[in-house]
Amino acid sequence: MAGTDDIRSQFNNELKHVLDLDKLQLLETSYLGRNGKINCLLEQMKSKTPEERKKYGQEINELKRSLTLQIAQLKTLLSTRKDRTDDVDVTLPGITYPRGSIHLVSIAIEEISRIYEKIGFIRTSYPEVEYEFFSFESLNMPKSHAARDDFETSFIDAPVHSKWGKMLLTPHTSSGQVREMWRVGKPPIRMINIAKTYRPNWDATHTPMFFQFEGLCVDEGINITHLKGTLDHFVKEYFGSDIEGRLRPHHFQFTEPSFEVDVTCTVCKGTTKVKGAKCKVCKSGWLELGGTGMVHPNVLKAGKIDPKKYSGWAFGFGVERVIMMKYGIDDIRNYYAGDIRFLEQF
Amino acid sequence: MNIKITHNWLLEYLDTDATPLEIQKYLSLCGPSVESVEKTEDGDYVYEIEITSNRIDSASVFGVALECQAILPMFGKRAKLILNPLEKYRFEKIETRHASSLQVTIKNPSLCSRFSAVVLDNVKAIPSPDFIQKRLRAIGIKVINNVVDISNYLMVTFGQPTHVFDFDKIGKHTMIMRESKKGESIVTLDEKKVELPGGDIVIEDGNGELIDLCGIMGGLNSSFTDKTKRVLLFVQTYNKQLIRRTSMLTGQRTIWCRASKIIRKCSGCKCGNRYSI
Repeated sequence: MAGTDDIRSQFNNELKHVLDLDKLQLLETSYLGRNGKINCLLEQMKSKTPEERKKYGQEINELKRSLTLQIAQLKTLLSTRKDRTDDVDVTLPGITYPRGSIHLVSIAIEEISRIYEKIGFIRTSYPEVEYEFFSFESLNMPKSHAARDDFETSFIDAPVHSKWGKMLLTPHTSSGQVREMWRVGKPPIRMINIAKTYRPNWDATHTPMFFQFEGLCVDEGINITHLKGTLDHFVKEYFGSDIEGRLRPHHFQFTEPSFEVDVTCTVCKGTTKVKGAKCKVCKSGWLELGGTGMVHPNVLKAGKIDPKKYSGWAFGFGVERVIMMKYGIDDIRNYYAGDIRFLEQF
Repeated sequence: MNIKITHNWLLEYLDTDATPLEIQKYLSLCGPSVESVEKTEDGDYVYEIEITSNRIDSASVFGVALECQAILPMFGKRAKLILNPLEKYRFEKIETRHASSLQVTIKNPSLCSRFSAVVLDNVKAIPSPDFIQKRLRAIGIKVINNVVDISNYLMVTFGQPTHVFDFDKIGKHTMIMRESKKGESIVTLDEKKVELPGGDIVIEDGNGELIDLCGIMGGLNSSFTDKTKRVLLFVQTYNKQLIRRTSMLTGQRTIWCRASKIIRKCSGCKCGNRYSI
């Protein structure tokens, strides 16, 4: 009959092109499936007379049987073929299991620590919950001095100490300076203090808690050249040999003279241009790193060290800031938002 | 703290061939950090400068001019002061005795290290000259009339806060400077009522009313208005610790109080005085 013959010849044509199991499956569905060609033929039975239906039905069943047989034969053939594409390659590595990594800030702290350890500094850590005396008074900032206004501080509702004053969350790691001087007693002192500091600010470049690293070096005959040398060493080690540092005048109560440290912008490399457009990150090719200076004699005195005999330098940088400059991250809140997609990149 | 000044304003005191961008670059390298330089519509430039708390002497147009004079020549730029207002000043006539002069009592000498005041007669409130208006607007200070504007203009130029009273509104032309008692209050120029925590420096007039919260803001009741005929020009140096305390406790942070908190030189008073006249 016309319809069945057409279908049979179509099927035989298409069968020649089937070379794998997937294509065979598709072929099976298109002919023998619910909306397949066989079933379409069966639909047409309704329009035939009862005598015609019997013959028609027989022919269709015959067609169906032969197609099914052909498909089954080909299936067996394809399944036992030697060059099957679903073989297993046993030399492939096994399933990887998820592995944790260290937080970006911890990695940076280790890197920084290592740079200074190699040149003879000792890493110490001092309380984050401090007394007023160590955070302010010992650093040449007496009570009710206007300089305290620059440090927004969080005070703690706790009993006031008779000697050390109110309890607070330290706004800078410089609170460790005098403590270190007391601990070591007599110079030489070479200290790195990396700890959390707290200032109630919250925007794209400030978080209420952040990490600071403090350096202190006290000895006989320490001067600004030692400070510059150590800073240059750090900048080259951490950022790369093509990055420079510079000092600009500034003011801190606990250093005299005081400076701000700049490094060449890591984005535009100091040229102030990125692909022809003005670099958005830096101010005229330089980025502010932090503050530094020669330790103020009053601070040495508070540390029970004779300022006439010894001198020292100190610096303080924000760890997040340093990382931001190295990797070009622009929002500090990324560090503490807890988003795995950000953290797993490091 | 940051201050704003304009380039043309600076050029009144400084003769230099440096451009605004050069001034920004060289000053930031050796002195006060110039955070930004912006061009205004009429060709002037506004500098925003960060002043550290140990260098309050540079927190004024004249202060920055001195810094430029010291720093710019090191980079091969010409920079010389045109005139030194601290040394040169003169005015025609000042009467030291008058029928209605001001009676002053200072209850405690530690409140104020220098007190100077001058009465000016035949004063009329009119709009100030164009250049003053332009410069004040460029740095964000509200322009009101000639007397108030001159007072603000001088403060930015010399860093010395000045204040202007309506002389005839001061009760019995008497001023008593004393510490405030807790609970006293004053209505300041911005029409806010400030309750005083006690121990603030205030001025009481002959009628027992508080007319000035010293170093922070003047009182509304004695302020200069269109109807004022006689003006009292008032220039002081206050005890900075008390001013800071009052500022913290009452939550007032005005440009006058910022300068008063740290100011040390008293001679600024004298020159501020003379220049206003």
